[in-house]
Amino acid sequence: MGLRDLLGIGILIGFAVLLIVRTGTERRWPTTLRALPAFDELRRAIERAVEAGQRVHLSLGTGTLIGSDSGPALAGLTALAQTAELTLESDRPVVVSSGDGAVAAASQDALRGTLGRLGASDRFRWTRARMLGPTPFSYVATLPGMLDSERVSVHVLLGHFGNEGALAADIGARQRSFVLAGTDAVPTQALFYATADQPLIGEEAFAAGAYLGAGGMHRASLRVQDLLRLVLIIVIVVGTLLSTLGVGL
Amino acid sequence: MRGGLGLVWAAIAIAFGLIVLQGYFIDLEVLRGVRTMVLQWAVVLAAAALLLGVANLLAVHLSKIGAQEKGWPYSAVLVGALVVTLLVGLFFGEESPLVLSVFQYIQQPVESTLAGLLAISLTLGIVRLLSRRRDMRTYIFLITVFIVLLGTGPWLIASNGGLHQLMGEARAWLSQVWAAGAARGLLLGVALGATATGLRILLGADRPYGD
Amino acid sequence: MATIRCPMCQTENAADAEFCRLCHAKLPDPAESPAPEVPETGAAGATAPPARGAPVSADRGSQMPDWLARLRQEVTGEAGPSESRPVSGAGDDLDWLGAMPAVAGEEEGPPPGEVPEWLGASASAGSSTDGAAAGADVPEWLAKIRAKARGDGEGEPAFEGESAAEPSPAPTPAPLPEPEAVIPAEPEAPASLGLPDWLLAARPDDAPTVPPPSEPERPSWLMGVTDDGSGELPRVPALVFDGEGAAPEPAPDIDLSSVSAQVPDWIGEGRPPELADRSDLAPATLPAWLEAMRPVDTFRSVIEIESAEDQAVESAGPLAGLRGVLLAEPVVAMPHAPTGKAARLDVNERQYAQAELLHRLVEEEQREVRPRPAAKARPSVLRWVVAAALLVAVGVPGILGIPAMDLPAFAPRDLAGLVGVVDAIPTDRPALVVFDYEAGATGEMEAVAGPFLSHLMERGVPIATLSTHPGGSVLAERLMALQGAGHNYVRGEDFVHLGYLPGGPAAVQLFAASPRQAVTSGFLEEETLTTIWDSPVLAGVTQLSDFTLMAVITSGSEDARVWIEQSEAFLGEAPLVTIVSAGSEPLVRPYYESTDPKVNGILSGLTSAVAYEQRLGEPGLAHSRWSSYGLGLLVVEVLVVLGAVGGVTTGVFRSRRR
Repeated sequence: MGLRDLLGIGILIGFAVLLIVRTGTERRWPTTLRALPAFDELRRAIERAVEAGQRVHLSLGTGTLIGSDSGPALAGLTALAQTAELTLESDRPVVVSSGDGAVAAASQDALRGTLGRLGASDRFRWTRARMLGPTPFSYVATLPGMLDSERVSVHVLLGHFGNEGALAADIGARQRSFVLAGTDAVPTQALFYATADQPLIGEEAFAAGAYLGAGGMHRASLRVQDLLRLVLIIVIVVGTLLSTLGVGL
Repeated sequence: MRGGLGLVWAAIAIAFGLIVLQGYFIDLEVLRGVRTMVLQWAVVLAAAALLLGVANLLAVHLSKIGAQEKGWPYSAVLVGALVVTLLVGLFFGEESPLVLSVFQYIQQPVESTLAGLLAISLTLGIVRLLSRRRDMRTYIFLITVFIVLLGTGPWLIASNGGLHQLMGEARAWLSQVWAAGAARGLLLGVALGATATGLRILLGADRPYGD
Repeated sequence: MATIRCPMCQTENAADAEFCRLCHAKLPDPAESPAPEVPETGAAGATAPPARGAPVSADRGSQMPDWLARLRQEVTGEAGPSESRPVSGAGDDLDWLGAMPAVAGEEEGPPPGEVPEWLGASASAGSSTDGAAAGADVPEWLAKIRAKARGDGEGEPAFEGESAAEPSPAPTPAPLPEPEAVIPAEPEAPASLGLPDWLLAARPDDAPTVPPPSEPERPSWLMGVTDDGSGELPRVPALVFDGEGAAPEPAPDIDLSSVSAQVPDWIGEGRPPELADRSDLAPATLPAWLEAMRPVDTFRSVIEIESAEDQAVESAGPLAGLRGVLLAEPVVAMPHAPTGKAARLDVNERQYAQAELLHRLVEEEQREVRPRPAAKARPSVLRWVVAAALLVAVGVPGILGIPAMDLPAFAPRDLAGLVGVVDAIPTDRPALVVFDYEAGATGEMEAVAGPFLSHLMERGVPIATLSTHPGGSVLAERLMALQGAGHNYVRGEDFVHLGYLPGGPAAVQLFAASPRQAVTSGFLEEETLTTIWDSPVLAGVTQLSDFTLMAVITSGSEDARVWIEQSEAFLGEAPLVTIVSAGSEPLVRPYYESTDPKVNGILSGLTSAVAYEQRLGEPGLAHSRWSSYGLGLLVVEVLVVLGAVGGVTTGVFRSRRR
């Protein structure tokens, strides 16, 4: 086990400890979240959709659950639970889609668990969580039909997307839906900036749970991430200076 | 009982997550063997999940056809194509020229067409961007797009001139310094977010697998 | 006897009375009201009228109006008020009437506000002062006063025209007061009752005797009213005749001709002295209350008061059982059909329009609303314009070959490094080429990866393909067949497909650690082979480092990163090169340009591919797409500029309109 391995373990354990501690102190010193207009607009759009009897669609992307692209899909599953709660009273509850079988199965499970926790198990339909296509472009190819038939007015893209994400956002815009899009892929974030109503830049997609009220640990996570980001900035600056001065590491 | 079952799933998820995680840091023969086995299970499960997803897809479209919902003819085409391709692959093999022809002459052109649509949608999105969102970020975005485009491809005239070369250098500077630096920063943030998401699952706070 | 004046109606009441006998107002406590200053008799100067509610002292000299004091002085020779005070005439300063002290023992004095007729009508009466007027009527109250005074031993001033034979018609009586308690006489009241002698002397000889105080107490103005048993109330003529009912009886004239000479002429004659005779007198003004009660001769309303037995008994409401109350039902509670005019609403145009609007709104709420079909997405004209422009820009050079864009004159800096890497690798071991892009990216990736594969084939390097995407192997077969056709590369002899590697990064790590364990069967492998690793192309390959080169062809930066990071530890000396799309280059280039580079060569974008083909001298896909690529980019640039200008202009117009 080398130094790098030890450093990795140390960072992970430290991250976990900070997370637990901050979650414990969250009640006493609650985290103040900076305003993210995207999530404020999302809440308002969901409320409008519920009142108008229209549907909210949540897309978990074309990534898998066992790769590095699973992070945004898991964040999307948290957002699914919150969105299902918000649309519980609607005649047209939330519908979730994905481009991977494992993600589709996980989304069904998450939806059923959420509705069961809210005492609305009878409202679960397994067709509300579905896989539209096994490949990214085949997923996008079936999206227009689904948005049109389900009368979607809020189109949320929260998962791993490649270039096809821009097409998915544009399809929602053509349907006159409110489009909020976030992913982990940086080039796709640039595409979302041009095509979505409310793009999420950087790690804002991972903050969806905290902004939608998923719980104290989500808010504590953001605080810990901020702290570690600060540490990283200091390390980068110091390392750059040392490197410039010729001090080898 | 329901709460107890949820704890069992949480315990299993946490255990297997820790097993795979430690494999990245601790190089022990025993642990490596366990990790390899678990990863193989994950690969098999992913393939099985793909089958589940296809079954889900089939069921959704069959119900749509049965209920004669809006757009059911397209669902019928999808179900028919799926069944035909499946049958051809089963009968002739996945490496048969027939299956390869289906991929080469149907799937690949369709997906390439969608990629072409992507170019049109992106261009339209950029054209409308200033009408929809007028702030400093948008102005910077558009200026950057313009410089990069100018420095990427050939020009109608003076394509290899000094100005074209200058634009090429500017494009390289923008993409390899500013864009790459910003992308690195974003990736660090994404990595932190993904780590936090994974840790919440390992700590049992998030249970995307349901109860 | 002390009396107290009612603050409301100025009626004199007994000093110990609690409520006014006329209006039933609460009388002030005599002890609380300060007794007014009583000037000495004969004091010059006017004396102020008595305070409201203040007991009127029996000593009249203290509150006597000036003119009365003057009269008294004339009559009795006593000092009175100044001469300058005008003599009151009929209708002038008659406050003394209200200030008349109450006679002890009985209610005397005219009702408040009542002007004795013999005073009011005296202006028109004859000025006879002879005894012919002795037969004229004298108010009862006056007669009583005189009688009493005479009975007390004082001489009564002659007063002509006083007659009590016929009681003068009293003014309309107020609601009968409650039987008043006997007002005790004040023992200290002077015998003359404080009346001037001339008043006392005015009593005619044949005037009826004033009944003793012991008789039932009744207001003096009611004394003449006898109860003949008919039950009828005395008729009190109204002050104002409203034209209804019987015409009021004319006021009886009072003949004061029999009044002795001691009485001032104006009283005896019943008319005030001519103003011309008293040039030094200023005209007096009637107090407002008296003016308001001046009888009008022209009309008088006659109000008939029904007897108690004739009065209806109230049968409904809280006053049920009482007599003499206003009946509710005939006036208030009796339902009656509304007149046509009252039921009709007067509605104007605006109100009618508003009512109509409200009616329509309510009707619409009750009507079922059919669900509106969802609004179809209208094809945007701008979208069609952009699509057409791009199609023309890309299609025309490809079909017609014009315009022909200039090929790049300078090769990218990175190309030389990549070419050097490929030129340096041994050719006895296969190169591992990973095809990790989707079918949609074949347009760019085949053009970019083509010259690289062509270079490998030109050097005779065996190639093993692999993909973590389901369709990657098919795309690999397509490109290898395309490029291999020009170099006689045969599948199974020169290249093999290791197939699809499921599992994402985990599978990559597994393959990197142990390739033979991760992949057991290939794609399109020969049937004679037991396992793909038995192929002659892969002879001698047991681990990742046995490959001569590892190349990752991908359109996404994520796939490149996964392969770079997972295989780094297992590659050994074998170089790693990446062939990526132009969009992924910024994220992959840091691995190439770092101080400890993980990537030994990089090729990205069509520009690099065209330069690579130029270097190889083999124009391929990149060359064929160069002009379309360039013209398409130019059209996009123009559209971006137009869109930006349009956006700014629209914003300016919108802000101006606001």
